[in-house]
Amino acid sequence: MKWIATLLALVTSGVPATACVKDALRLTTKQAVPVEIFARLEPITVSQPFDLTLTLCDAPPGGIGRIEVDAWMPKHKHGMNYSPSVQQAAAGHYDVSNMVFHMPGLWQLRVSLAVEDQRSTHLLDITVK
Amino acid sequence: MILKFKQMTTACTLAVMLITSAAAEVILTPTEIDQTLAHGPWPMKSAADPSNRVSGNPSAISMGKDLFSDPLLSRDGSMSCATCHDPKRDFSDAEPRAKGRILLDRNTPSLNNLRAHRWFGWGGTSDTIWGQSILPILNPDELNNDGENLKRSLQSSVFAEPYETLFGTLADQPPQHVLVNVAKALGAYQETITTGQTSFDRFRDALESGDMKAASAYPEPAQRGLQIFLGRGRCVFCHSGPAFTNAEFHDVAIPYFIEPGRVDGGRHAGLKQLLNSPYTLDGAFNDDPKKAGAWALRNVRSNHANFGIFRVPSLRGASRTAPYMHDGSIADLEAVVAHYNQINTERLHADGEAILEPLELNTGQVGDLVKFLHTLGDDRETASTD
Repeated sequence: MKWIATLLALVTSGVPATACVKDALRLTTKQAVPVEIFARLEPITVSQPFDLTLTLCDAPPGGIGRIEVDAWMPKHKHGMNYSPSVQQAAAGHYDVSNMVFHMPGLWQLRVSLAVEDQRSTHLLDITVK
Repeated sequence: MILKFKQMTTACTLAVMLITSAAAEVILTPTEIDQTLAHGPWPMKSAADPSNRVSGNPSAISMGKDLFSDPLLSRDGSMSCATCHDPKRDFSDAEPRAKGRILLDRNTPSLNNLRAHRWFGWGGTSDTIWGQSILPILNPDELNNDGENLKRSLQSSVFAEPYETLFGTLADQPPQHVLVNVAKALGAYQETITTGQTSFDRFRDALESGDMKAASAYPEPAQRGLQIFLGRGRCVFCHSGPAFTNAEFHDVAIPYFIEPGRVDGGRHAGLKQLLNSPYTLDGAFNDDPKKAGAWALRNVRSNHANFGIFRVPSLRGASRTAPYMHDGSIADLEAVVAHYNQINTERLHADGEAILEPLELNTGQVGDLVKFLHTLGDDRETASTD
């Protein structure tokens, strides 16, 4: 019953990847960009730091100019109290640490990319219990 | 995903048990039961604080306990930590605002369950218990001491021997180090101040084990109050987890004017002070070579909305620590619920929490919510002080 003490993140949108990664969740974007982003999340406990990994599929040969990660509670109209740390682990792979969702409810993971001259925002809804 | 499946399976099992064995006694829905389980188990498991090399050390705890109530910590020998943090009052003082050498600006917070927090003090002025313990020692309006005087006092006191056993020869140590070591002994003691299992915990544990007969002993008014807490009341957004706090800071429309022309900056002021302090997890006095906890200080955001917001208190034992809020302006739990029942949203930060609105509970619902809150403090224990 230890799972009960750990509040898990239940991802309510995003679909399993079938392309360049498996067992990850695809972020959605309204921009017409070739890059797709997939996330793997650790189990999430309210107010405790957690890590996630991002994989960028179909990134251009020139690489990513800039990547920013944040999260937002749409209904509560506030974000996180901590800035996550983003580190490139390999080409197209990023480790994100020190994410803290300090309330239960719906959070929106936001990844902003600058690829060449094109900017895009990619979203993933995450419900924290 | 496996965990999610198990979680759902258990919730379904509990739902079946509710229907078959105790439907009349346990009124929570499976979803509410699932939410309830997240508020335990209690007490929480806790390891030694790696930033404090005497954390968990029985000799340090004993010395810290004695120091806590000894006026030696004050420059003139007139006050101790216990002057405000009265062990007989759950380490608070029943006053709206603390009475130091002058009337201080904030309510004396209880020291129960400090390990559940990441930040300490109403404004989060410290990121360790030992770091927080330094502040009242140095504050001119509280113990009004300094490292040099404290060192002299210790050398001629009964604390010299236990100090040197723990920390080495006093005479060889700079006053600032003595100050920090004293704070670490105080911290080791305060870590042990915890509340015990309450009727809520017995209810929660019975739900977890599927013992609906035992769960049904939890009074129905308290269950109704719990339902409000988890749902319509939206209390759970901030008062989450086993300690009933998310350990962060929020604006709940309590005025931050101390008096005309003077405001309490809350988290904004606390964070500013903390970032300039040598006594943090990112500083030289952290005993953890990995500085594992320093991520929070390094990554915390200085949000505009930090101004005038205050730390979310744990609700465990709260029924014994009236009055409430950072300024002690609310006399009892009934009045706290009344505050949220008719909260003035115009007092909230424009860019703050957007889900607060008047609850509009009726008298019976207010009573149920208060009954629930009392079940978080019916353990009748104040831990290690007896």
